Amino acid sequence: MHTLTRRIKNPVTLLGLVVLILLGILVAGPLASLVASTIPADGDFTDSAWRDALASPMSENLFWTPLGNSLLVAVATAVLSTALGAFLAWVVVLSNAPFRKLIGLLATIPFALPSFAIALAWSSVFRNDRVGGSPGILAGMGLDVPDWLAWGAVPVTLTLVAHYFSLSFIIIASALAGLGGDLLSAAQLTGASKLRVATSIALPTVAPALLSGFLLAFAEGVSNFAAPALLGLPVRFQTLSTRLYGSISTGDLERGYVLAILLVVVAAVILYLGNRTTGGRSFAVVTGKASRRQTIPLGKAKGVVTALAGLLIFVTTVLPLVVLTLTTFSRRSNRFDDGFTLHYWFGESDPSISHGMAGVFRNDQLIQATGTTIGYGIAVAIGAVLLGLLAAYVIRRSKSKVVNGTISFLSYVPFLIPGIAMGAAFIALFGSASSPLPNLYGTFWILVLAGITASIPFAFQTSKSALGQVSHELEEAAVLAGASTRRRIGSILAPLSARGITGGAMLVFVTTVRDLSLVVLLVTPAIPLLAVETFRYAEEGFTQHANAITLIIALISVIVTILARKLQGQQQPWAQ
Amino acid sequence: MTLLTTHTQTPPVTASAITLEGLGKSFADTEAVADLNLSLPAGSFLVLLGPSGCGKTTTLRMIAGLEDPSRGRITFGEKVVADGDTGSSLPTEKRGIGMVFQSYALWPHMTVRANVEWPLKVGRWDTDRRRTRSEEVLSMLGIDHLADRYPTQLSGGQQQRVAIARTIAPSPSVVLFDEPLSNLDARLRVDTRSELVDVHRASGATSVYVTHDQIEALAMATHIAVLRDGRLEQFGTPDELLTNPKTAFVAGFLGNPAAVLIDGTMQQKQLTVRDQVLAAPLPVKDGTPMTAMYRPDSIGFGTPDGIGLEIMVMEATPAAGRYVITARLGKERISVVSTQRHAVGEQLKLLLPPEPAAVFDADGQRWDTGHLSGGAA
Amino acid sequence: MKNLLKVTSLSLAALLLASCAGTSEADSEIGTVDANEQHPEFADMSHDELVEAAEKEGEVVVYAFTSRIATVAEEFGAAYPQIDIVAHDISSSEQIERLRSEHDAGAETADVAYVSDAPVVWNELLSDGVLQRYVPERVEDELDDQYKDPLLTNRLSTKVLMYNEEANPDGAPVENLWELTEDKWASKVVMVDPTQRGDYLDLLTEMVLRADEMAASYEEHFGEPIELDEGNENAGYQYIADLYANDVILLSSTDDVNEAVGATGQEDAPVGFTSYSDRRDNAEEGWALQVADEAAPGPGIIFPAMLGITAEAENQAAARLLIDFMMGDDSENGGPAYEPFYVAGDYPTRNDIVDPEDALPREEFPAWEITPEDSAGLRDDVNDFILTVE
Repeated sequence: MHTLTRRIKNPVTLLGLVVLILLGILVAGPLASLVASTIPADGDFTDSAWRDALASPMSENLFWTPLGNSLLVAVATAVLSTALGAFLAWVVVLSNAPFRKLIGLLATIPFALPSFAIALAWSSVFRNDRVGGSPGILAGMGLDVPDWLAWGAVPVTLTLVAHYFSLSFIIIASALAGLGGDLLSAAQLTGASKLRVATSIALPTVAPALLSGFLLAFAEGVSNFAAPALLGLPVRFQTLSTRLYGSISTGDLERGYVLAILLVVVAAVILYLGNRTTGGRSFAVVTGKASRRQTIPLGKAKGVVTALAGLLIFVTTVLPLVVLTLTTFSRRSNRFDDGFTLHYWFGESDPSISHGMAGVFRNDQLIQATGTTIGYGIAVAIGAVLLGLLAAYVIRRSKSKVVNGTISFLSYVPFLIPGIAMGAAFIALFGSASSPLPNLYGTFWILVLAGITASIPFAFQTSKSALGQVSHELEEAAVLAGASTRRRIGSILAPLSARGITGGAMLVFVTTVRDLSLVVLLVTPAIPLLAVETFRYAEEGFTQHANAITLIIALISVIVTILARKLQGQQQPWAQ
Repeated sequence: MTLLTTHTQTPPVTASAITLEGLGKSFADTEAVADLNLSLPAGSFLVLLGPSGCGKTTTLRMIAGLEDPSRGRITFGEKVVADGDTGSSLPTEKRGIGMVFQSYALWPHMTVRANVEWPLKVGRWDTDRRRTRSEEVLSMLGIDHLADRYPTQLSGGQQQRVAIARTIAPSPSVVLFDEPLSNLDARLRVDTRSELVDVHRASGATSVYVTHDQIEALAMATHIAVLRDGRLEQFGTPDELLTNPKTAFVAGFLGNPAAVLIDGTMQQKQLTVRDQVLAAPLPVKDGTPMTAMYRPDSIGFGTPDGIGLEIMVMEATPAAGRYVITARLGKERISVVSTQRHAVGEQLKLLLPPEPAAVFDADGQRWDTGHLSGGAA
Repeated sequence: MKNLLKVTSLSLAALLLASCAGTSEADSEIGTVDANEQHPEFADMSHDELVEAAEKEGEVVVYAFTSRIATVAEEFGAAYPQIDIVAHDISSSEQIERLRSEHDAGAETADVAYVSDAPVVWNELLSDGVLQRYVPERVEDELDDQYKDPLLTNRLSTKVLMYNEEANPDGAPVENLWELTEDKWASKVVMVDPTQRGDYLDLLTEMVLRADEMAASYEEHFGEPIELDEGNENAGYQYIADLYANDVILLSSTDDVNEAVGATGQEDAPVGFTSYSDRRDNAEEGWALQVADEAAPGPGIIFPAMLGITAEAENQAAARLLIDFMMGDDSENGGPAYEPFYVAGDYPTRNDIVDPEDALPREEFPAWEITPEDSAGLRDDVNDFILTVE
């Protein structure tokens, strides 16, 4: 037997090849086709979309200003999300604040909410008379809401923060929970104040988690589409993603693609720089729940700290849901003084209300959309986790640096591609006559493939850490028992990593179902998704319908979270 | 803890002789194992002994097939199972090997019985035979009452036994142990040690056992290979190694207590320490550092005002009616067996026999053998 | 050169298609494909036969640029309970993109498209055969030529300047479009972002096309001839630049504009460009929309709302039946089928349907009727211009 033949026969090598091909098609392919379709056939760029975007009288409004806005929103979102997430994590994991368990549970909810949910709630509350018409709740109460609070950078940033601090919280809390209790006790014994222990010891030791939270929030912030689309337009606050959407939806594909590439480049540069400061440490992975160490008594500050944390949770979790729920019952958009109705939920079509649109539970399109959305979420969760697992397994077993390096890189790249740019790339690859790949535009599968691609970084990281929890020796013991690769995976690896993997799949499902940016360009009416329906209704002024669907999405996300937790508990009778 | 009453049902096993020829393994820039040669008779119990990082685990994993050698060959009986020079390698599962891991590597999602039976299932034993065999090995190890528990519900010692049961159930011809006792407390370690020897004998396999604990090695091994920095220092039976260490490292590593090594320098053809001559004249250049080896029980103590090398007592441990006195000699620590207890802190003189048991050169090689083979001078 | 290629390949495609259909002639210069030539089996069907065939298909999918399609769907469902109608409300710009992408992908999604944005539809969808022309025989004689070729038009819609009549009981607060560029109307003019919605782009394009009229109105209002800023080619462009400089407020949908302009209880209501016909919702929505029809040089544009069958339509019979249905019955107001469109501010194309009451009759309404061919050539430039002045 020669080494080479052995390598080829080796199932890991074969798996590696399969993974590389899949990643090539899903990750490298769309990017390449995106770039290819913006290069003029004759090589003359003077009349190209590149020039429009970068060096024409339009560039300032088409690219530069939106770029500045995107960066502003993203950086502000990242800074605030990290700060709030760290604060809450500290309260929940390390302090003895009352209700901290409840706070910890609620703090994970905004992550499961669609980002436009909070934007819609914001608009219901702060909408002012700049756009005329019926005012928001505050303006309705006679308060003067200034433009900067109602529209543009501030509300866009704050709604994104309300959404993504939750992600920072999850990451930082699990890092804090992993800290040795002794480490903090030692610091406390020196007589340092609680604040000092928190800021000088606890936070620096979880610095990689802080940075992870920061960069994730940045990546989400720079590419978010819903918030600036809903809250930016009245003050002409355009970001790269809204410009990109505008270009593509009006048929200026090339211009849209160029903006997409530029958006990827900007995100990549920032994330690369950020990642370098961690010394190449990869992003912390959101793993299951954290075990508690020891608590720091808050003393006099207890009331204040608890109140702050509670307020934060109330404002970001409870309030938006309450506002959204109430508005779905209000007869007229955002008016609570005009009577309440169940029409928007259960009403038959009535030509005098909302142009004859029936309530959401009477709307076949929405019922279909609910089905499609769940199917889409499940397909993506399974697909992404399978691919992530395969990739993680190859990395675990393969000794080839080239293979491992390429897989790691390609599995990371989608993280740099904002959802809306990814959608554009998939249209370029799977929706154009000139592409070598089958034309999938208008099918369910283009959504699933795009969803899988967007979820790869997350699925890969989760799988890697889930597999990492199974020691090599457990697998080697199976090798020694003579088990084949398939058997080893099926009988040892899979059941042991099931918990982590189920958790990963669950989060992939939730992030997929609530996401708008990725699918907004890919969805066709034949394959309606709830997130897109909401956006469309919101855009067309059917506030009650939009809010009702948002609530349905939130409900699905929360139910899945709870179900998955239960399932995880039942799966491991040995871990009692 | 009497185990070996029911092992008659154990299927007959043909143990394999194991031969390592020029075996080497490199990881990136470092050479973990280099030029390892040894030939182990079938049915023997080999201990790979050495401090951490000496390459013993890597060697074990190469024998197991979990690592491929970079150079050299591994042969089981007549069959080459790995050849680092051609890159060919028999897959682990085809080598007929069992292995007990340091962490036990029990599959946490399977009961004790399932852990033991799973390898048999993979080996396509039928259900009845599987059940019979698992009951046999479980009762042999005295853990049949734990069959339906999960590993996390067991104590460390119980887990250890499950790991052993699982390993020997398929009757492998080679059993490998990777520091299996290091996670047990001292008392349990001693108990389990003798059981392992019994298991080895009962299994009829050739065993290879990795440890850094020389007492374990001396207690269990039929053969010991002492490794250091990836190289083989000496391979032989425990007696050979004790009575005839080839290197100063082996001499200082093995034995309870280990041999006393005293560093000196050649002065006027004589090995001298602080003006005291240790041995008969040697044909070695003046100024060369050499080491003299003495058996711990061949050394006596004299009063501080007498002649001899000055020492200070650091510990006195009672052992079998005598005392192991650990003392400081200059910067070195030596252990000497004495009939008398000495108080900690006491200043004494060493009474050395007229000739050391052996002399090692500056490289740690035995001087006489090295000299005879023309290595020194 | 590019166009030449396009034309060549189109002719080839047309030839191919024609040979399949057994006839050989594309009947208009824009290159419309006639649906009945593609499927001649429907050409001679009686209405009853068509219904039977449609019921056999059992479904029809329609993309419509107006939310009124929901009501149409109700009526259609009531009239033909055997046929499931699936109606999607999608803006024209997006429809065009979708129809084209779906056509490229060969995906069967919509059977019928109800779309405005005539310049783009004519230019891109018809010539590429994405949408096909179908004119029910029943109404053929009641339509002027421009409303059945290159595509069937079932009504004319508008994007015109509207104001809040509750806040302005004495009539329109604006008499000349140029007033909107003055301080008084700073941040008080609303419209949908024309870079995202084709009909609003058409509105601004029409102003550029009618730059001379815009220039005349300028002089009329300010008493001096217009002076163009650098880079603004004519009075139309100058108007766009000035409007944006005066902080015109962009919203994302016509309904938002209606709400902004029309909501009752406002003291200082804005004005905005929206559909004249949205007045019909005043009562239910609590609006007070009214048209500023006397705004010089024109209050806005009138444009066709067109119906076509998609090239990939799966339900050919049901598609024809729906189009026939949406053209209304033979009563003077088009009957229940046409009711959603028979509203003040929209203008039926059928000569046998009288203009709805409560709105200015077509001939008295001074809005500009767009010429899709002319607009098509200029739209992209106007779009790019807007990007520079935003």
